[in-house]
Amino acid sequence: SESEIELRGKVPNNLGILWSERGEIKTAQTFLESAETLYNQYMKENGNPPLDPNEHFMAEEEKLKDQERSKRFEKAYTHTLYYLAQVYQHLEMIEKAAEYCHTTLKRQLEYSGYYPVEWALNAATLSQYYLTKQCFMESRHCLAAANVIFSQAGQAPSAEDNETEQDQQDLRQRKAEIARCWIKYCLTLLQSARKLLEDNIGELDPDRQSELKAQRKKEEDEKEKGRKKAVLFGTSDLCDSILATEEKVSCLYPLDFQEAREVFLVGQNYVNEAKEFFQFDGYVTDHIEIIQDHSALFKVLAFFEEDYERRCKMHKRRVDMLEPMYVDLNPQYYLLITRQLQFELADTYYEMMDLKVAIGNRLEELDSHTIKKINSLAQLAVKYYELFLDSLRNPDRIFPEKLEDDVLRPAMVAKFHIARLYGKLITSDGKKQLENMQTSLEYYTFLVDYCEKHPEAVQAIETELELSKEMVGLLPTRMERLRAKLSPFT
Amino acid sequence: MSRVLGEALKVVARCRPMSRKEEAAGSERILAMDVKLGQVTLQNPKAAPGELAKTFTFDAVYDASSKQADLYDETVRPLIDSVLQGFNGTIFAYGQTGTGKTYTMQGVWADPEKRGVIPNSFEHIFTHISRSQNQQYLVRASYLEIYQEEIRDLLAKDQSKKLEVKENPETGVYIKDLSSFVTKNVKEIEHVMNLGNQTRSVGSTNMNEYSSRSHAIFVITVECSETGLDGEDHIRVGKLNLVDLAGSERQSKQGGQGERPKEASKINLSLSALGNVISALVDGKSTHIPYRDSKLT
Repeated sequence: SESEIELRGKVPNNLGILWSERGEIKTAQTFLESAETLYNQYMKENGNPPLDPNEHFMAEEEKLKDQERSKRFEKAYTHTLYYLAQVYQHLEMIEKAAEYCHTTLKRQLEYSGYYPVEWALNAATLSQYYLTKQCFMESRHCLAAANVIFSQAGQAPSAEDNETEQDQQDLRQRKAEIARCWIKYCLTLLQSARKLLEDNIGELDPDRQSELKAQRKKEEDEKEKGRKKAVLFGTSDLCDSILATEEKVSCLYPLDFQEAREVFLVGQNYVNEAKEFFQFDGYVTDHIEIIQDHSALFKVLAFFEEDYERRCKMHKRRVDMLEPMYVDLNPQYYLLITRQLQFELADTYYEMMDLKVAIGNRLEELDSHTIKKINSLAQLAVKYYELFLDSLRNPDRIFPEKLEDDVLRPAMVAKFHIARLYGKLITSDGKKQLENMQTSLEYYTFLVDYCEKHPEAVQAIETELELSKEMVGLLPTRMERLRAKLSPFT
Repeated sequence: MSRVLGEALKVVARCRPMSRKEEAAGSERILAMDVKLGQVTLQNPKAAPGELAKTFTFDAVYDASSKQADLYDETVRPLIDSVLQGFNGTIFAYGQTGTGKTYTMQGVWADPEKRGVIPNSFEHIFTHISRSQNQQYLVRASYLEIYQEEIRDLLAKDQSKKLEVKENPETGVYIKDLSSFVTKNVKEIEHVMNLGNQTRSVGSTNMNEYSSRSHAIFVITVECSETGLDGEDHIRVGKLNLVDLAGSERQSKQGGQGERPKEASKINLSLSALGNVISALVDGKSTHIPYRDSKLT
């Protein structure tokens, strides 16, 4: 009956809470799930709003109108789902917890009432969960909804007329936070696509590309529509606004440069939006993270670009945005970020050098301009790898005997890349060439020696170690040959 | 120039004498301190048979009979000396409510024997300054409080304004618009501290409850200007942070030994915590969570 249901609904809710406080989370789960089942059964069979428990104690005239009853009933159920989300979270049933959070958000829009800014932030946060699961359609939907609902905050006149400077600032900050969630969406979508398309040397595999394109044509509509319906937010008018926002960016894996570029541009727009609020002076850490994302966007776009020169230009954009920040940072206060930037700059210059070499190899002969360029890029890469390695030294400027776990691999990669870079430097001076080879050998040897002393380090740099061992074997012979060539009279 | 004078980090343990109440209740002493070895040994009164006592080693250990002056001279004096040289130093007092943090940090101001770290530091700084011959000093004080993720300037006239933590690329983290006062002697700096303490207690119905949940940081900045051999003025700036941490019994236990603390399984009744629930679901580095971390760090 109607009066019974409300009581029977609320009691499990409360019991669920009680049991959770006693630490008996499984018992809590049972009670809450029974409340959930009850609601679903009831709504199926009956549909009229049940009596609120308090109504039993009210006089006839005071009893609630149907609308109010319905509101309270639905609100209680929303809470049931919300509590279940927490229970599932404690039981580490993360997927279910997310599902219930999603439904809670959905119901807030439909029944409960909500604070636009808070709702928008929650939806944006949930979108990040979906990213970790590669559920881009759901992620995009949450983000689009976040945009639409957030804009409601700007419109409604605030309850207190004296909306302070602080409130305005808070609003701007929240908007920028949502923009940052969008950046992650675009970046993750592109990076996931890359993983699907790349071959074993990190280049775009055209066969995989055709395969995925064909697959996409097949899968399309039906499956998507079903999934979509399950997560759809809001009433019909909201739906249209959300849809309009969604149509600005794809949720499908970009499979060629054109598609990648479109996602990239959306990401870039949000970078500009976020940067406006999170300025370097004032929000150093946040600003740098945004720029690092921007750099990552360029890096992944470069993957889709076939032309080497254009690729190089993209990497140049990365250097141009990272270097000025690096220069202005005080490493005393921003050690971790400083190291990240040093390493990323080194890697980027390294990448650019490799591209110039590849471009050079296609020509008949390497002209002096290209040689200069290759050498300059190589030296810049070395510079930043060395700066990174220097940052690991202790106050007495001594390089640590044993490297910490979190810096082990980057440090070894830095040594390895420096070794390789010295091997790539182009010079017509034989003596200089010998010096370069000697330096190269020293760095390869460092890796091999370190792994001998610390065998646990081997698994972190297997590939590099193998190549280093090879080079340690080959280089001395090559150097001998060169020496013999240079001094034919001995 | 070496930035390290002696050890960079010192951890010191101090144990207070039993209170009258504890003695009257016949409480057992479970703590033993070996000052020479710098060790504290804990004996579990409800120990299972064969369970060994646990021993912890510190840089220094002060037992119930320790004097305020001893603690200051051995542990704090060198730190203040280095601040006067232009280095930065921080002193934390960490422990549960009732363990004697305030006694150690503040002590009894009026009693020269029972003065704590703070009054002794003030005395130390201004005595040094008064004895200096070729140097000019400027001492500033600031006082802030962190309560429920909000920062309050305890010396500001407008208490409704909450302060923000900002970052400067060159100088690192700072509190925007934090006021500071120039103090020329012990009396003035004491006055500043009292002002802040008064502000701290305003607006809380239960002071003990409040102070056991909020962190207070008193910052002393010492600027020293000296004419060098080259005829130029050289300026050194040292900062001393005196931190009075909230009672550590409030802090949630993270990790632990396999068993999840019961507190963590509590269901939050209010939908306003939905954001926290959702944030907890996200376990990836390639994401952005639009909520701020604790400002204390």
